[in-house]
Amino acid sequence: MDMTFSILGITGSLYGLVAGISVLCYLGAAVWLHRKAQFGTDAVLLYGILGIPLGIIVSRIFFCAANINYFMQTLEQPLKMLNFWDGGYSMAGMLLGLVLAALLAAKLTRLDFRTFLDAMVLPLGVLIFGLRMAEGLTDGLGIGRNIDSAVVTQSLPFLFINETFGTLELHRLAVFRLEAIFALLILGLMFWFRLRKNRRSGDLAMLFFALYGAGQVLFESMRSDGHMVMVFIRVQQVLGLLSILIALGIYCHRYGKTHGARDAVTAAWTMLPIMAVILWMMISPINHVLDLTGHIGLGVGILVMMGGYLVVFLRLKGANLRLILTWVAALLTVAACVMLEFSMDGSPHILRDYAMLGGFAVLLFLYPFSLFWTMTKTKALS
Amino acid sequence: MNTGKRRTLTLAVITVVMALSLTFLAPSGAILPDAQQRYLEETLPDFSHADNAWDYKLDGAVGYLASAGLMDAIMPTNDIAYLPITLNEPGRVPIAENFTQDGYQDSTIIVEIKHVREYDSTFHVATVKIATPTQLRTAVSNSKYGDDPELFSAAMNAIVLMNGDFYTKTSSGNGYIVRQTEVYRWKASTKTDLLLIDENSDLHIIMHGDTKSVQEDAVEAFLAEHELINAFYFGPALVVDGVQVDIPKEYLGDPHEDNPRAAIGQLAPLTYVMVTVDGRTSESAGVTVEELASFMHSLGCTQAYAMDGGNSSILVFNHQMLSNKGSYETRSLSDVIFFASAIDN
Repeated sequence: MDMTFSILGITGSLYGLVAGISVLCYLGAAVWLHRKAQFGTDAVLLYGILGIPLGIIVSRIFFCAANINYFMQTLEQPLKMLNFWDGGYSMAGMLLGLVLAALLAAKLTRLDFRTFLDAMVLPLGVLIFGLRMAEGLTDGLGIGRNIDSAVVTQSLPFLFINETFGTLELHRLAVFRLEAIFALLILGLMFWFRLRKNRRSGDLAMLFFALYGAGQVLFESMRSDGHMVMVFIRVQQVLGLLSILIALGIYCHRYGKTHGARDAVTAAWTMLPIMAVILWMMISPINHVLDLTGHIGLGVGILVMMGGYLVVFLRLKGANLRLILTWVAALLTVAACVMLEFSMDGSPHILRDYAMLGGFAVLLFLYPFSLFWTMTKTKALS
Repeated sequence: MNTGKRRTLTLAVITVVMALSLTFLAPSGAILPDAQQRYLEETLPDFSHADNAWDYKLDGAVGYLASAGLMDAIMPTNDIAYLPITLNEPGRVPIAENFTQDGYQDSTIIVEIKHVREYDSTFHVATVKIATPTQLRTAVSNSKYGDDPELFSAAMNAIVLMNGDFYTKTSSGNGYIVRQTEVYRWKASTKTDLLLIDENSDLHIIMHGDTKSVQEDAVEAFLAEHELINAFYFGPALVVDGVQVDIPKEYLGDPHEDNPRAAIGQLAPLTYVMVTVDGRTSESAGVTVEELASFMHSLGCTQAYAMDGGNSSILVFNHQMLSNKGSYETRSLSDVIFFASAIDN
């Protein structure tokens, strides 16, 4: 199927058209939702005018950074990075571009950045839904592994793309459709979060990024389109994990402030079980990824650095047990995700593994969310 | 219309124009395939001299079959239609009842499977004799992360299949990557040896040199005499012209540590061995590349070349994995080398 068309001799793409319409739907929803807010329609439109180029540029930068060797070494044509019209974008980069646009728009209209960002992420699921569905109008973007289960493929045909490979008919997961459905779920949850009283400014944005990041942990694993992959590392999955941990860090900091806990002391206590795990990896490998038996020097180096940090910051007072347990649980869940991800290739129980990874992704989101929930039970300080 | 409304309208028009411009600016989240092809073609040399494409030089094939065992077999090279050279075109359906635990035979292919213990490790050895060069084939997954090896085997009607170099799906780096004449990458390396397979399915090894021009010149010389059907970028070279190669101190894939390994070698025209070594298990430690080279040499290979090892090291016979991965996962394969029957179905 030809995914392009021509207008006045200029080639356009169905993907780009759907992306453009999605942007308009998103901004239209934002204008409508906030028509009675202190900031007017102009602020949203200004955000859109800044957000479209910034989203494109940062998205392209992320893509090129993940594929830098392709442009610098394979092609030896770094200027090709400027060929925006040849395709190559990152969703994570686009989201960061939108955050920058919100920051600039808030500055220019003298609004509180965090409050404005909360307002802009509220309908962001609309945009992500459209962009994910647009992936279906490309050559293989958003396609996942072959699923060899007739029960599943026949009962949920919408979630599969059929493909002939040699003598076989394969049923590849249409991950882009799953991600589109998840975007609608995010949209619904954001409206639910908004109903929560005693929210702090910036809460909705952090919950959005934690939720989106949790989704990326699962869905990026399902994709087998090689998009944004450096060596064996799926970049958007790592960025998803990072966004959860950053949200968790900010919530921990806010929670600590209301409970008199000191961040550094909490972090120091958290390191004790991590050091035990590293020590274990130096004696006995957990799997071939988490194996330090052949790299004792590296393990000792990490332990010495962490030990130094402990000596400086570990005190008996100022730590908060809940924060320590939350961090330990979050880091263990991250480790579980890493181990599962690296053992999934070739697994005979791929659907079970996806279910487990989905469970871990839910847990990862629940760590910052639980702190948010607790804090909304008390009145906001600011 | 007041100033405020006019400003809002102006902002709205600019927003709509910018959003719809994405139609022309953002064609896909990934680089478009035709753009990738354009980029690649800018790096390719002129292939116009290769007018002798598909001028198969099979005349002497039967006469070469001189040594003992499987190599004594005379294949009826007359009246056998060549398989199409097209990438991902499966071979002919083999005769199911001709499969035994130790091999397969029909009028166009003989395969013998052996399992050998050396260096405290298990070697799986498939010795293959084919009637036409087109029965040595390669295939590439449509999925960038690859497909299950047994699925690959079934899809391609492979009789015996092994992993390739994994580089067909990576967009960055050096190497000459060609599969069934389709070029994926075309760039010389100063660190990695090359395996080229010509129109007779003869293996040619090009060593890496101090400068890129060493490989560039060697590839150019190859192209002056041959059609390039497949090119691989992994290695190192294990045996060249019957001589075991000293493995360099520095080479990709930890060559001096015990690991699962994979290699392909040529014994004579249209006669090959595929070898994989189990590793990282209590039953089979795996071998160094030096030990693999020694083994390939002992088999009598005239040319032998290491493919991607580690978890990628996979040998499949009759759609069943022969390699034992122990508790480690079976890696999906992005590309494979396989032998197929050419019998008339």
